[in-house]
Amino acid sequence: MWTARLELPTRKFIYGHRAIGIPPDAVPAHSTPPQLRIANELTSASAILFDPLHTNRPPPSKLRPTHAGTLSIANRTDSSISVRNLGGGHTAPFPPTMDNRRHPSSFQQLEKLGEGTYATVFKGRNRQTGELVALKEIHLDSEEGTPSTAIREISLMKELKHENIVLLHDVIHTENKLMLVFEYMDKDLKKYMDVRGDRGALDPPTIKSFMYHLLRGIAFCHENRVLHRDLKPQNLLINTRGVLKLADFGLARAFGIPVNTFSNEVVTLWYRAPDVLLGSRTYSTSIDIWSAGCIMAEMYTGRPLFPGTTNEDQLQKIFRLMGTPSERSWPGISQFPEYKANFPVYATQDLRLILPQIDQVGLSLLNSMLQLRPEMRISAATALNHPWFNDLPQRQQQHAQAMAAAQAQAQQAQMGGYQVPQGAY
Amino acid sequence: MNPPSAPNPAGDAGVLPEFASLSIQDAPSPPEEEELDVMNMTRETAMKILVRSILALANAAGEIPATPALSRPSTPQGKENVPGIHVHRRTASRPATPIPAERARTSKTELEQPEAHHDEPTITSDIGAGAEPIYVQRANMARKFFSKSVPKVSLEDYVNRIQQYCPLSTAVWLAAGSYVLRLSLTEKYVPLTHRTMHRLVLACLTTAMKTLEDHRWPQKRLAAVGGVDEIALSRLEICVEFLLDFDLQFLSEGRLTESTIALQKAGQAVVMNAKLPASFNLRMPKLR
Repeated sequence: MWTARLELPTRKFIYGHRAIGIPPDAVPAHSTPPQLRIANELTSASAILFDPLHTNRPPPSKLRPTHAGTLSIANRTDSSISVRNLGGGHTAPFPPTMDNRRHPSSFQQLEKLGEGTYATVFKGRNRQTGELVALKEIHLDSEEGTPSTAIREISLMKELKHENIVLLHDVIHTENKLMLVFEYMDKDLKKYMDVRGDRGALDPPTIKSFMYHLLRGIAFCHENRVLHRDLKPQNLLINTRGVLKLADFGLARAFGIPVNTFSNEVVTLWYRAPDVLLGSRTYSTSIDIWSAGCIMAEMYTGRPLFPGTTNEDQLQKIFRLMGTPSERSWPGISQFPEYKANFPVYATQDLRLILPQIDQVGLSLLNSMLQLRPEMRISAATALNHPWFNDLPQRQQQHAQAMAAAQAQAQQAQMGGYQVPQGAY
Repeated sequence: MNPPSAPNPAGDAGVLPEFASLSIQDAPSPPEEEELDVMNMTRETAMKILVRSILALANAAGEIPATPALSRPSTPQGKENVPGIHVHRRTASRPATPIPAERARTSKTELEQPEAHHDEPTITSDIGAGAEPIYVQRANMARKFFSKSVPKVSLEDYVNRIQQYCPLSTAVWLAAGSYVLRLSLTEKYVPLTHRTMHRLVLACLTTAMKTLEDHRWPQKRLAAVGGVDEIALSRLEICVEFLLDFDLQFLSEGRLTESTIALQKAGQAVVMNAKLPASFNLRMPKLR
């Protein structure tokens, strides 16, 4: 299972805001702490009398300050211990702790990567391993306590471990902020399209691969009864190996438990499903699929599919392309709070007109994701089996792996009765 | 072309739960294990399970004193040590769910004074990063839940008050119950006694609400209804989050049912094992 180490609230030494939580051994040796100044002046008779003119022995070594020898730490009560780190490589032994968690890692803060609605993200480097990470800094304000976005993000990402979901390594709490340590990803999909694409548009093989990763990540969330509720290119990250992962679970929530109603104010406007725009509070997994459809179209053209400015404008842009729904095409639509009988009536357009690059099979997948009626939208799990992905190398590989695993399991089941459990003797 | 900014789910006034004058006294007794159905449980029943089990556990625990403070609060040396005066560069959290004016009124309550001063240092400031053993830090966090003396308001009245002014859903009540159980019984971080239970319930409810619900009562309102100040509530909340390692989600109905049954059983078990009072003295009937 998850083996994250969460730092408990501690006061961290912060050196010039460059690093958070420097462990004792990372303190630069040249900066002698004031506590050591006297220790460094200590000397011995042999050192004073030593003169290379009269002897060919090596000079006597300098007296090193010792700390541990004078304190019998083990005999003291926990609450009175104040183990001081003297720096300069001298560490007093810590009393045995009940948990044998590994020593906390520390991270060097590098350049700013971006600024979100509620957090700033920095590039960082693990001081112990040199590994690059992304540091998401969240300020804790005393008025509202821990932001619910942070609580959601941490608690959900701890549960959701998958290769298409960004990995949360660590959470560090310092004086008035939380630092979330994520695996480092090269860029977000938006930036990737700007840099790699032809005026933002990506090539079909890349789109297919990204869509597969995206749907795998979504399917995993939905299997675990979690809605993401804010899928957009900015929240999809790509690493240097071309793997796409879902990030930013600040608006996500679990849906398998008896909670109150769902909020209607979810998903960034351009990627918001028509049922949500119509005021629905009983939406489910299909809202993430709508966003995925919008993202797929955007990868083909390099431009957002429905760049609305307001709720009404957004609905209108959707209807203009997908056709205005009626009681006949969508039974029950007139019951939605935001439904208006005088919606302008548009006929359904062929998506191929605005997406000439898309192939026939891809178009059928896109159409099944961009269904106006939520219950008609394809599920993530079904979409992964869509024939469009048949020629994807990754998928063939995974298929082979799954087959092998199933075979091994079947074999094991056959032998089950005769197996001696390991470690039984 | 950048998309508009992400919405704020808590900003939807439509998610505000119904206010209802309710009383858990009138709620039917919670069903036994087999019939426990968290999906269709009323809020009152969830509250009743929580109150009953917590009271039973607190009664059984008796008086457990708080761990002494790590050190006396010292004169703050830098700006960093003083809570409240640091300037925020930006507010991290988005606004809570708006409350209609006719319902905005709350009445204040006061819990007894806390044992720990809320800006009591968590660790002594001369310790290097992460050097303090984790169990020492945990004991210190546990201190924050202690009242100096047993609060006068009964737990039942206390949860009724919370539900009256800040209604919370069944899942939030049950999740809070599970957090309390883990903090006190499973992980043994905070003793569950008459001095700690009010703060434990309040902090766990706040955490559960933010974890599970889209609507959010303003921290100020929750603090006033719960009888602590805002900063204290925020500190209690983060203690809950860290002590539970942010394992706060219930991704399936089954996990919520399991933890609710565990809470109920824990409460029942301590009642069964409780010592009989001295006055209860059985004697053999005299033979004639």
